[in-house]
Amino acid sequence: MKTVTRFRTALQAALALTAIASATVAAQHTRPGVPPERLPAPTRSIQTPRPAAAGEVGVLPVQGNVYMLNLGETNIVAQVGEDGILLVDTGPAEWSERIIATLRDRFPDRQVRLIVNTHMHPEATGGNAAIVKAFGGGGRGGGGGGGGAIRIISHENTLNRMSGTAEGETEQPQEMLPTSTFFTKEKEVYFNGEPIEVLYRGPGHTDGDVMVFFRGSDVIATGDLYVTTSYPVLDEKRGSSINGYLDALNYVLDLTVPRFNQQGGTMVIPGHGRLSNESDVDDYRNWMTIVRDRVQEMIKKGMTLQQVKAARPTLDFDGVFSTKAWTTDQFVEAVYKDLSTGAEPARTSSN
Amino acid sequence: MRKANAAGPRALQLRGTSAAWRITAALLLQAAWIVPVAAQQAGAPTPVAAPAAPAAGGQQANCDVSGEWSSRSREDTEDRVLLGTNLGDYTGFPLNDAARQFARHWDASILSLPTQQAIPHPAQYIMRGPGPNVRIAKFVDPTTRGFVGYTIDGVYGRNDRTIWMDGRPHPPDYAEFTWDGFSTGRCERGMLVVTTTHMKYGYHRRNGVPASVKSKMTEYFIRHGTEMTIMQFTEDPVYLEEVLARTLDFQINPGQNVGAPGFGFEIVDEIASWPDGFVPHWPFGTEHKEFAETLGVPYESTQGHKEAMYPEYLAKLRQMMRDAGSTPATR
Repeated sequence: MKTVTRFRTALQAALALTAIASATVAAQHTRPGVPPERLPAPTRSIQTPRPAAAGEVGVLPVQGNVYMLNLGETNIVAQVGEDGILLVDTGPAEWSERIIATLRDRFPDRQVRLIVNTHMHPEATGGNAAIVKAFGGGGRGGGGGGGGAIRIISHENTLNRMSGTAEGETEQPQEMLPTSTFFTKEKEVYFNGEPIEVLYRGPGHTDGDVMVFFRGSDVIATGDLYVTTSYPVLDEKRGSSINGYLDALNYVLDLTVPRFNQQGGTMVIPGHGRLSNESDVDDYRNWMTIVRDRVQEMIKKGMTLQQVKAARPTLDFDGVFSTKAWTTDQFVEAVYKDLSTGAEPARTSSN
Repeated sequence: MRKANAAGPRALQLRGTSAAWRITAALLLQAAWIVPVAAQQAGAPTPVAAPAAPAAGGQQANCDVSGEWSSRSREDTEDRVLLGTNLGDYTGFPLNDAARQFARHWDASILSLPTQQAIPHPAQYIMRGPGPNVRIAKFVDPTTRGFVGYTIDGVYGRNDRTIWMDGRPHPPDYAEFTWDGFSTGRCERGMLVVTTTHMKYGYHRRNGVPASVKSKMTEYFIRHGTEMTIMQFTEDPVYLEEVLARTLDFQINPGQNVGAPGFGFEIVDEIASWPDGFVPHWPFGTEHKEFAETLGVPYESTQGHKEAMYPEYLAKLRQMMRDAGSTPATR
């Protein structure tokens, strides 16, 4: 009898402790009592907003099924659910092991099933082979499916460049190459219970840029068509265009719907930099439009590249966007060359 | 929709204002803000450095700022509350060349864009004007009943602020930035000291004076019974040459209710003729001289050079005016 009583007491104590622990954990994660709209967005997005240590993969739950994975300055995206994991880009090759470890740690019972490459640069495609090897029991797969195969989606121009088919390009290893391409404005996918649109707007950063719109989660992954850490990188050898770049940004603004006072709502994950929403894209679009207009006007006045550089048309933005990897000089030169040879925009914006 | 507050014609309303009186008052106010800080730095009148940002902590004693507070709007009343600001008036700011270029090309028409209409005042400006009358309330963890932080309601555009007092760290740089930023606070010598990061691009005055995402703001909420002064120190390596120091005054008002704040702004397309992607801005090289001309002061003295914030500048200003043979407008 005493044994039964002791057991009952112990059981009650254990249950009580469990209840207390659960309540504490719940409080930490949901912070009841503070209306969600009152929570600052970073806290709303990240229940425990803990900075990742240098060299670690930072995992940011965005909303719905979508997570942003920060690799230093580069971002990739994971959409996770019952069907498995869809990755938007695979990051630089040197991050592959850490990405694989992070995915296995955070989503232990999920396999990568789909990859979308937003463009052909190594920071977007460098991890293709390693991730296929780690998760793709059946290797890479095409549109026909097949046991365990991972499908890699991209625009056709991206495959042409990665496969060395396009002029001046070097062939990448076979296991890195996209297996499912398209040449139209859109490719539709349904995965993890939500419609996903892979969108092509023409040349911008390269001639094969796509954005990925998770319609259920209400998140757009832009690849390098939108970044917060530098000026638009115009890859001249690969068909870039400042006006194409601006067109893509305007299209993102058409898609996004802010939740409240021009923030929240549709979230935008840039190829590099911080998690964004419509107003962040709007700032970037506005300023790059202003720079485009200034350079355009200077070209109309017959100013040389050196004169344009000397006038410092980007001075107001250099403190944020000029970097060692893509300097103001490089950007201004690329815009000048592009606008000198390309078609003018329909209308410049200055008064 | 947010109404543009900066317009060229408004400068005409300032005719008759004594330029010398305005600038002297501005300099004295600046001096009043700067002196206490400068005094902490022996023998170093300039540049002013922001007080060291406090580490987040959980000590809450003796710095309760909760209550209904009415703004006194005594500082810069004219451009905060009465007439609004003017294009080309960058007085009182330590701007660098990048900020001047940004401000000179800012066009109030940009506020007509659908993507700009619903923007509330950003954290760098929200406590300054117009008003605001605010409710500062404590909120607690409903499970533990522990004090978690303060909320500040009543500000323009419902840019409600939250000040976390539970010692949490600031989010990583790649997290979302917001209009109110991310604020943590702690008590220090009877003051509530608040550190704010993660602020979106904003402005310090409603005429294009920019604030960047690299801004960091340290605020001291100093309560004296029924009065409260907030000292703000904003650092911005992108646009400011030194720390921007400003003060704000509030008075307790128990009967005040900041009211139903509503659900923010409605976005309405009002101009059908602008093509997609149109961004209003003044042409490159624009200089807004109307403000200086209206006051009869040298244009350079209105352009936000840091030296113009200090009392010593008054002598230089007078000399410049004598050299130019100009006479300031009289009130």
